[in-house]
Parts: sequence; structure tokens; C-alpha cells
Amino acid sequence: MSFYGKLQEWLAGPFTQKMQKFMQNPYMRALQTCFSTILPMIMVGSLASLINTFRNFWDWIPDLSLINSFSFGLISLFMAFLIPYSVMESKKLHKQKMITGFASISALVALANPQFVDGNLVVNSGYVGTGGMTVALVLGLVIGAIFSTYFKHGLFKKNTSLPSVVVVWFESILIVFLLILACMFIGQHFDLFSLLEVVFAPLANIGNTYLGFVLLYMIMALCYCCGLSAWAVWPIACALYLTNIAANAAAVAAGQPPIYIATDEVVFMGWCCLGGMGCTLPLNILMLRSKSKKINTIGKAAIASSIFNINEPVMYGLPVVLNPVMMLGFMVVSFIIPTVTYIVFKLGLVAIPAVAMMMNFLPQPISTFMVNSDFKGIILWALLFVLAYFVYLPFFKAYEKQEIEREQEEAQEEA
Amino acid sequence: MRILFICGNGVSSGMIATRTVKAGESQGYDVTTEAYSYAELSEVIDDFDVIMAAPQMKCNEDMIKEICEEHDRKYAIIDNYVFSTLDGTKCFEVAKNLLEN
Repeated sequence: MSFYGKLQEWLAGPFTQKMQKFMQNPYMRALQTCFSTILPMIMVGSLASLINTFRNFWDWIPDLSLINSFSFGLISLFMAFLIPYSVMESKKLHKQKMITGFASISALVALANPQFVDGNLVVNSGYVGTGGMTVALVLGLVIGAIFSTYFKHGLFKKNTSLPSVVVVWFESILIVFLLILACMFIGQHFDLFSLLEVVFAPLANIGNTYLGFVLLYMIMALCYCCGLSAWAVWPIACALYLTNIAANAAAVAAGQPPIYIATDEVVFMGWCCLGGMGCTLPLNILMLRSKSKKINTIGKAAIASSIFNINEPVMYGLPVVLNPVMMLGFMVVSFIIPTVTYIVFKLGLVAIPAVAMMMNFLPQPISTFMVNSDFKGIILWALLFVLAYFVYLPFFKAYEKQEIEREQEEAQEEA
Repeated sequence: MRILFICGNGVSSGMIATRTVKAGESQGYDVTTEAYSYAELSEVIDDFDVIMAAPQMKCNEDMIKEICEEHDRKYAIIDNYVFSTLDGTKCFEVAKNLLEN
């Protein structure tokens, strides 16, 4: 078998199996579930921000930014609940998954060391919102690990005469009591939030450099074109992107310029995912003009989704997934486009987005304009579109040639 | 006949879901579908008769198989070509065969 064939076989076989195993461990799954489930809460805030951008044109629209505080601004609480809940669910501990989630919320609030003033519970708003995401993430995973082991092991003998509800109550009361006690102690003596920020700062710093920015994108792209859901690395990217856009928004509110480029608004809404991850919209257009019947048909069926940045039809149809020629083109585009994007923003040629929106399914360049209200952004978008088109062209042509030859052979065999 | 479509976030399988319903209804069947994210599979699976998973769910197949076996439901991973061309007829056929066999 040719090298090409062997490569395809390895990719589709052992490689995919190993990655499947890695992605299906309960903790990875909990992280993936967490972000995709919580997304609507983030987007509620995005809608409010979206309406706010229109205030630039029509100033009678009320300021809805408070909606953010009740949605995006509580994201750490949601994460704190959902992560250990998902871990417990993966491990089939259904009786105790809810109480684990609730305990985690208690833990997070205790760690935030709130003050009780005049009958008010005063918590640092950042700690339950975007500033507490790292803590919520780590806390959620740790509680998930501890609680699942504890409940799996249990306190009573297997054949106890106590009804199972009572067993769950006793076991839960004990561990939740200890957890809250521990978190109160930690919260009153250490600022865990700042501490974790310092610990994760190097990672965040790397993510915010050129190399980190491009690498993060390429890792997601690589997972995707190997047939693995890009959602695997998404939690890490999402955490970074969210922290960055929140920091940008805070900077603008304080009269400073926004400085973080690695945001969902830049990568997914604006410039690095034209038609979906890997910039497949130009590729789809190439497909529409193809002389290969199969490619042409799929191009026509997929174009509607591509306009809304959903590119599974293109990825699985052309296919790009597990197709070495197209994978190469896909990865080259996934290197060039983020590179150009990062350089343009770093040079300050286009305004850096500073409002959280995360609406990846809006057609570009409409969403491109919405994220930063800067017309220069649309020019950049058009340039990137043309660039992606010409980078894909040789790879596409090579694959198209193969397809046309194959179709001609089949037609001859039938004749 | 209630068909559940699952993919990463419930969006990309939404389109083939509607095509499949049309195909089923044109053959005289009473078909309803919904598209969900695979993360919600265990929560909603009992409301459906058969599960159709988008091709990108191949990497999560073990999890899907586990949940389906637990809840005694049959599932299939939609073929790449069928999915990309939004072939509702083919898709409906597969779902129908799963239920009848």
C-alpha cells in the first residue's frame, strides 16, 4: 500500500482510537460539557452587548449592560456547579450529582471570603464572574474527583439495613460539612483567586503571544481535521478567550485601550474562521466551481451552512477530515490566517474588539463589523478571504484532479 | 417515530434533521425529530425511539454506545456523504431499518 494509504489508515485507526480514549475520560468530558452547556448564558450577555453597539447609531436604546452582570457575570457559579455534576454523571453517581454541584457552589462562595455587611452578602463580583473561572474550573475538577471517589467508596457496608436515601443523606452531610469548613478556612486566610491567577499567568501569557495564539488555533484545527471534535481543546481556549475579552472590556471602561487579541470575537466571529474553523468559506466557493460531480454537489449542499460558519458538511463532505491532501491545505491556512490576523492587530491597524459577543453563527463580515465597529476590519476580512482562497487553490486542485480521474474511471467501468 | 439527532452543539445536525422528517413524512410516516448536543444525550434519550449521530461524533462513539445500551436504544453514525449532501431520504432509511430490525 502506498505511503498515502498507510497514513490515512493510521489516522483513521490507531490515532483516532487513542484520541477517543483521551477525550472520553470523565474530566475532559465534564469540561467540554460545561462550556457548551453554559454558552447560552454567555450569549445572553452577548445579546445585551450587541444591542448596546446599536446605541452608537440610535441613542434612544437603553443601556442593557447590566444584563451581563446577571449572566456572564455569574459564570463561575455555573461552572462550579456543572463541572463536578458532569464528573459525577459520567461516573454514574446519579443520586449524589446534584448535591455535589450545590456543594461546589457553596465552596466557591466560601473561597471568595464574602463579607456580611448590614444584612447584605457582599461578594467580589469578579470572583463569581469572569475573574473566578480558573478557580471554578480547578475547584470543580477537584471536587468532582474527591466526591466521586468518596461516594463510590461509601461510608456504610454494602448490605446495610439503612434505606439508601438515608445513606446518601448521611454521606452527603459529612462531606459537604467538611468541604465548606475547609473552604471557609482557605478563603479567610488565602486569596485563592489571585493565587491561581498568578499560577496560570505563564500559560495565559503564552496564550497571548503570537506563538500561543497561532498554536492554540492550529491545535484546534488539527483535532478537527483528524475527525476529533475541536471541542476537545475548546475549554482551554474558551477560558483564555473569555478572560481576555473581559479584561479588554474592563480596560475600555477605565479609559485604557484594549490589548488582548486572543478572543472569541477575533478568532471565531471576525477573522480566523471564515465559514467555520479553517476558513472553509473560500474552499466552499472553490467547490461550487468544480468540474467534479461529487465535489460540486456537496459544495451546493454545504454553501448555506458555510455562510453561517457551520462547516461540518464541507469538512466531512469534500472531505477534508482524514484526507491528507486537504488536511495539509487546511493546516497551512490555519497557520497563515491567524498569523496575518495577529500581526495586523498587533500593529494596531484594526481596532481590537473589547465587547463580549461570542456569536459564532452570524454570517461574516456582518459579525466582523459588529465586534469592533471598525470598517478597517472588513477590509482585513476581505484580504484574508482572498488569501485563504489562493492558499487552498493548489491543494484543492490536486484533490479535485484525483476525484475527476476517479469519476472518469468509474464512468468507463460502467460503460 | 421520534428521531434524535446529536452532534457537537445541536446546530450542524439540525439541517439534516428537518430533511429526514420531510423524507419520512413523504413516505407516510409520522416523524418528529430534535437536534441536541451530545452532552445532553443521557438527559433526553428516553424521549426518543432512535438516535442518529453526526459523523464528527465518531470520536465519542464509545460514550454514545454506552448510553444507548443503558437506555435500550439503537443508534447509527450518519455516513459522511449522506450528512454532507443533507440526504434526508437515505438518513430516514437508516433510522427506519434500525427501528424495524
